[in-house]
Amino acid sequence: MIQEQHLPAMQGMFPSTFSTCSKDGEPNTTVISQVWYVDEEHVALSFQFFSKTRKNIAENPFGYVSITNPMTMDMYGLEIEFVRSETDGELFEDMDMKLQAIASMSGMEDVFELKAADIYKVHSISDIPV
Amino acid sequence: MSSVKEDNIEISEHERLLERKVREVELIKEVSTQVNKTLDINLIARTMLALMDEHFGFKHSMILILDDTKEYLDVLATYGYEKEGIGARIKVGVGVIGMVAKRKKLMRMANMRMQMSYMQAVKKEVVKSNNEKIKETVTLPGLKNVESQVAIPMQLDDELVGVFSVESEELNVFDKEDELIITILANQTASALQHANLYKLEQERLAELNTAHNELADLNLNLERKVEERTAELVELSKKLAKYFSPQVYDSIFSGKLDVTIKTQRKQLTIFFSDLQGFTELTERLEPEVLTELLTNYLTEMSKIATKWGGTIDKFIGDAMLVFFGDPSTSGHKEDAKKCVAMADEMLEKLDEIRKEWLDRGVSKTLNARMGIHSAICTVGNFGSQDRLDYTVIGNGVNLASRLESNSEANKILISEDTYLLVKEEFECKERDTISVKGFSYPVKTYEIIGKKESMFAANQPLREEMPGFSFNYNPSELSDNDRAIKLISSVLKQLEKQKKQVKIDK
Repeated sequence: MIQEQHLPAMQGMFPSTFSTCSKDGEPNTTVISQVWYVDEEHVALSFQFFSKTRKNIAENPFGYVSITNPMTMDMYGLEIEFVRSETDGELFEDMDMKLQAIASMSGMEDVFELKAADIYKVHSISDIPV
Repeated sequence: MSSVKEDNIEISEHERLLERKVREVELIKEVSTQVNKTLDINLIARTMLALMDEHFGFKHSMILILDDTKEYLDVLATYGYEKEGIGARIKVGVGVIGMVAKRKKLMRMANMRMQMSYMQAVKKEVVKSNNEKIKETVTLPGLKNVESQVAIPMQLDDELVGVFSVESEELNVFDKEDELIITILANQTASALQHANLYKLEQERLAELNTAHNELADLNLNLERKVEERTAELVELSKKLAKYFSPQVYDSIFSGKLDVTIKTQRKQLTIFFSDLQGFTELTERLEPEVLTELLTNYLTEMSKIATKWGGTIDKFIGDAMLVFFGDPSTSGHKEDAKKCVAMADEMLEKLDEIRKEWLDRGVSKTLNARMGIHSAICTVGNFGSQDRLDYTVIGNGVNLASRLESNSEANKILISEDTYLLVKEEFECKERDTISVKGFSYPVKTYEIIGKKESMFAANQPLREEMPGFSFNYNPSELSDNDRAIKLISSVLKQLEKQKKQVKIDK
C-alpha cells in the first residue's frame, strides 16, 4: 500500500491536514505536524491533546489525511481508520522521544506530552492533483 | 531494454554502497590509528571529529561527557562551530542531545526548525491558559538554525558516558547509513575515552599519592622539628628544675631510675650536717643584698664540693645544709662514710679561703662552720602529698647528725662512733665527750676528725696549713726552686727552735 515515494512525505517536513467527522455528520479538519510511517499498511498519529479530532474518532473511526513530499511537492491523500492507541513499544518511544526533545527546548516538557501513538490502517492512497 | 536499465541502476547502487563501505573502513582504520597514538581525551575527541568531516563531510559535530552528578553533559570537544563552546553544558532530558542521554537511544531529526515553530505555536496557545508548568525556551550549544541532527548515546556496559552529535543547517541530510557510521565512531570514542579516563585517573591517583607522600614527609619534618623544640624546652626546663635538686636525685629522676611517686625505703646512710656559727648575728649587721651574696657564694662552693664527692644535697636551711651519702647511689657503707668525711674536710679547707675573701671585702666577723656526721639506717625517699613531694631523709640518725653538729667546735668535724668505726682506717680521730641525745637511750660516743692519715706526709701531695702567725702552703707540682724552699723552711725551723728555747727560759 504505502510505497517508497510516499516516505519523504512522512518525515514531518510539511504539515498535514487531517479531516474527521462526528457521528452527527459534522466535519472537522485540523493541521497536524507529522504522519508517522509504521508499515506498508499502517501509519501513526500523535495524540497529545484532547481535541475535536479525538472526540470525532472516538465516535467515528474513519478519517482522511493529506501529506506532502517536500522534494517534489507531490501530495497524497490517505483514507485511514483508527485501530488502536499504543502507550508503549518502540514506535511510541520513538515518537515520544522526538517530541520531548523539541518540547524541552521550548520549555514545554512538562506541558507537552505524548498521550499515545494512535495507529491507523491505511485503506487507500491516492495522488492529489495540484 | 528496461531490464538493462534496471541492472545499470542496481550496479551503480552497488558501486555507491561499495564506495561508501570503503570510506567507512578507511575512516575507522584512521580513527583507530589516531586514537591509539594518545591518551589525551581532548585530543582524541578533536581528532575524531575532524576525521569525520574529512571522510564524510560532517561539518558540525561535538562530543559531550556526562558529569559526575549524571545530571549534565559537558562539552568535551567541538568541531566546525564559530565558538568552541567548551565549558557549555546541557541538562539531561533537554533538547535532542539531552533526550538521547536520558533515553540512551539514538535520535535522528530531519526538520527541527519546522518542529520548533510548531511547538512555539502550541506554546503561545498554552500560555493563554496560564499554565504554570511552562518554562523558558533554552539556548543549547550547537548550530542556531539546526535542521538535521543525529545524536548517539556513548555507552560502556550499558552505562551512559556521553553523547556524540552531528548537526547540519540543511534539511534531512543524515540517513540510516550515516547513523551507522556515527554509531560506530561513537562507540569507538566511548572506549577510547574510557582508556584515556582510566589513564587520567591513574595519573591523578599517582599525583595524589605523590602529594600525600610529600605531605607526609612535611608532616614528619614538622613533627621532628616540634619534637626537637619541645625537647629543647624540656631540657631548658629540667635545667632550671635541676637547681632545686641534688644532682644525684636529678639524674635518677630524669634517667627514670627514680619514680616520682610517694615511695620510701630504709637505707644505710651517712648524714652530714653543717651550720655557720654566728651567722644569725651576721644577718643583723649586714645589708640583705651583701648577705645574700655571701651566703650564695658560700653555699655554692659547699655544694660543688658535696657534688664532687657524690653527696646528695638534701636541703639548705638558711646557712645550714643537710647532705647524705648512700642514696640514690651508694659505693658501699664504708666508702660512703669516708667520702662524707673527706667532703667535710675539703669544705673546711674551702671555708678558709672564703673567710679570707670575705675579710678582704670588709666582713670582719670570722666565719666558722660546725659540722656533724653520723652513719645510720634512715628512711629515704619522696615524702609529702600527691601534689608536692620532697625527696628527703628522716629518722633518728638525722637528729643525731644535727646534734653532733651543734656540739662540734668551730671549724671542726664531730662524728659519731658509728661513723668513726667506718672511717678510722683512713682518718686520724680524737675521742671527745659523749653526748646524750633525745631518742637515744645510751650516751653517744663522739670523735673529732684530725685529718687524713697518710695525707700529712704523702709524697708529692700539696700541703696547706693556716694558723694565727703561721701560714704554710706547699704544692710540689708548682714548686720550681726546690733549694730556696729548703733554705726557707730551714730558717723558719731554726727560728721556731729558738723561740721554743726562749719560751722555756721565760718559764
